[in-house]
Amino acid sequence: MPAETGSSTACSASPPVPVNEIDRSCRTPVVFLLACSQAWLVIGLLFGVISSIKLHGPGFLSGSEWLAYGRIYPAAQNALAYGFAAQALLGVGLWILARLGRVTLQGAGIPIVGGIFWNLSVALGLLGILAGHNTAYDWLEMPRYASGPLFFSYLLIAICAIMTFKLRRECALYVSQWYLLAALLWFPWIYSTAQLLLIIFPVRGVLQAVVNGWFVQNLFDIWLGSLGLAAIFYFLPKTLDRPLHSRYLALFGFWALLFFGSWGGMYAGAPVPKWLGSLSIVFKVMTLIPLLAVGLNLYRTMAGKWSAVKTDAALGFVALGALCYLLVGVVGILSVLRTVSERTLFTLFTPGMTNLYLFGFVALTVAGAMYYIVPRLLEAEWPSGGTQTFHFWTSVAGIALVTLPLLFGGLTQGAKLNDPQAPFISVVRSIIPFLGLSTLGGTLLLIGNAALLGRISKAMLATCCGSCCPGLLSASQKPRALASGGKV
Amino acid sequence: MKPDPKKSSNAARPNGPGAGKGSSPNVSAKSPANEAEPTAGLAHTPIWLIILFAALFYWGQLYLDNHAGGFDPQVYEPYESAKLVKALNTGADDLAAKGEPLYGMVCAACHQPNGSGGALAPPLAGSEWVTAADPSRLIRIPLHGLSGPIQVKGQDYTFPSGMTAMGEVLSDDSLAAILSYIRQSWGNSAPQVTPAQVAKVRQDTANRPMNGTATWTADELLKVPLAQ
Repeated sequence: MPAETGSSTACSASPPVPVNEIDRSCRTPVVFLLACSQAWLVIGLLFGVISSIKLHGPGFLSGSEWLAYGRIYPAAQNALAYGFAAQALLGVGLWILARLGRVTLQGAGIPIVGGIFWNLSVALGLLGILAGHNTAYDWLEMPRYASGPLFFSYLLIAICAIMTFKLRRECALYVSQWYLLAALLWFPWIYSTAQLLLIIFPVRGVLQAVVNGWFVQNLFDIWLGSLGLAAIFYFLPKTLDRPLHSRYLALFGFWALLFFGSWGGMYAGAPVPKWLGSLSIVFKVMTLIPLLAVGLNLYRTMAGKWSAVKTDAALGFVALGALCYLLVGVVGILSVLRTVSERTLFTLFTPGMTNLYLFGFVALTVAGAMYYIVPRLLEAEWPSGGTQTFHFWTSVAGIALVTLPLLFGGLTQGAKLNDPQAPFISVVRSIIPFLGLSTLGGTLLLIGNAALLGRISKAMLATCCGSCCPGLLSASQKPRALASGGKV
Repeated sequence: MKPDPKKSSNAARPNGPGAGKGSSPNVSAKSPANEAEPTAGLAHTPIWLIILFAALFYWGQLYLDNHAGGFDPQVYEPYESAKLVKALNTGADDLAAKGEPLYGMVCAACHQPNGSGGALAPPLAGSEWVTAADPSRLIRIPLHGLSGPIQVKGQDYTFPSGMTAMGEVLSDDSLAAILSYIRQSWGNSAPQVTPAQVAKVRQDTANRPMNGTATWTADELLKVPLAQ
């Protein structure tokens, strides 16, 4: 992407908009998206914990077909991917685009309308999954009557984002804007292609698995990955109050990710021509390059200021989110190698990686962004202080517990499954402890994030009541100017 | 709060390294109008990363040379090349190999897995009915069934239940596979029966029901002419 764009855009002509005005234009849509996403995170975790309990206690809630494992597990996945991760990162992205462009969020009510319909579509989709209308494609389980509205609500939000970008008053582009623009355009392409080829005009046979694998790879590595990286590349330098180490390194990593990250998705041994699996392996391994470029850039940016993570909550969360991104990237690359994948495929290893991605990389990055954005948008201090520390440590412990046991459990499970002497039921029994630990981790994440949801709601209520009828609030509850990001 | 666009316009800062100075962004909600936004430095991409990139790219090429089967759509795991797949694929279907599991499911209960026959059916191993060069009599037996006495390898057999008619349940392909298997197993070495041969017999006997009401007798079968 060129460093400076032509003078055809409005950026050179108009003066930058003051930060307060930008934040005020973002207040309703961004806070709405962030609060709703946090609610979906709690719902997704609740569903996830229920489905996780069912794996080691099959009698749990077995009376209702709506809560059967085959329904509640995909419902949890979709609540987390579309309700939480996508919505939260889009909300953060809108704010970043407005701030970096030094312009108010464009489209006024359109992102709010888009946000409302996005949430209604996710709710409809989850109800459809729970009612048994699952499409049976990984990460595309929502039935057609929900995925269509979801797509069009996305377009509403994306159009506002692109308008905000186009009408920016700061010509020079920053790294986060590249990633955001790429992600904004990437999703309509992959989602519509997957819907067309899988649901509307389904391709035949094993080709469906190929399309699905391609979609999942792009959904995570490119779309959610770019949205998350945009937030990390913004908040890390922002909270450290120093420039990012290198623009060239970021550029190299950006193009390398877009090029190599979009080809994977098939696994070795799939019943498709061999070159598909091998090509996937090569391209996934090549994503080591953008991973190193991102890691090195962030490391050099942090250098010498490591202690700042202790004093700044937003930085602490985002830095840990970045670490999880790098970790899950390396584990993901190792897991596609033939010698590893023949052992980890179809085991707990895969959900372990997904958990590290969603709860480690996405949720921590989003949490850091929220700790930074929400008080500024609401022009209020967080109502209570202890929740932040509580949220941080439940997150760390929860992520460790939903990730490590599944990764190690997956390795042992795979080794036993490949041993023809081992009776199947003994393999199943041997993974129960790992599943139990993962349930515990999910519960910790649920409690921590429910606390954060409560905290956001309280802050929203305080601001809302404070602006409408200030007399109602006592002096202690009155929103005050934000003092600091707080201590982790 | 002092939204004053004119004042802030003066504060538009150059974009570049070191621009991240000024207001600490984490301190006040009442941010100054010209709050610093992140910028990027101009450090070079380290050369080792480029070298690693080239090395990985080279490895990728080697890997695809060795593990992509020449991008041939016919090459699947675990085979390495189209040449190998072609060598293993003789072109002719190995009907006898396909027939073995079918024989196990359909026939072995009476004729025994080793074709020795038993209390319910005559032997197939070494049977002149099975190994006749022209299979047209043999094909008729499973197609419509057989009842009454029959002489096999010089010995007379009579089985109360006879041979069941299978023509309605087994396709030409399946029958050809099973018959090929029994003609090439347990010491038998007659040529395989093709699906086309089974289809021809089906056509020749089109007016004969295959539901077990029109079973053959050995005498009837012996009247069926054999090609020489």
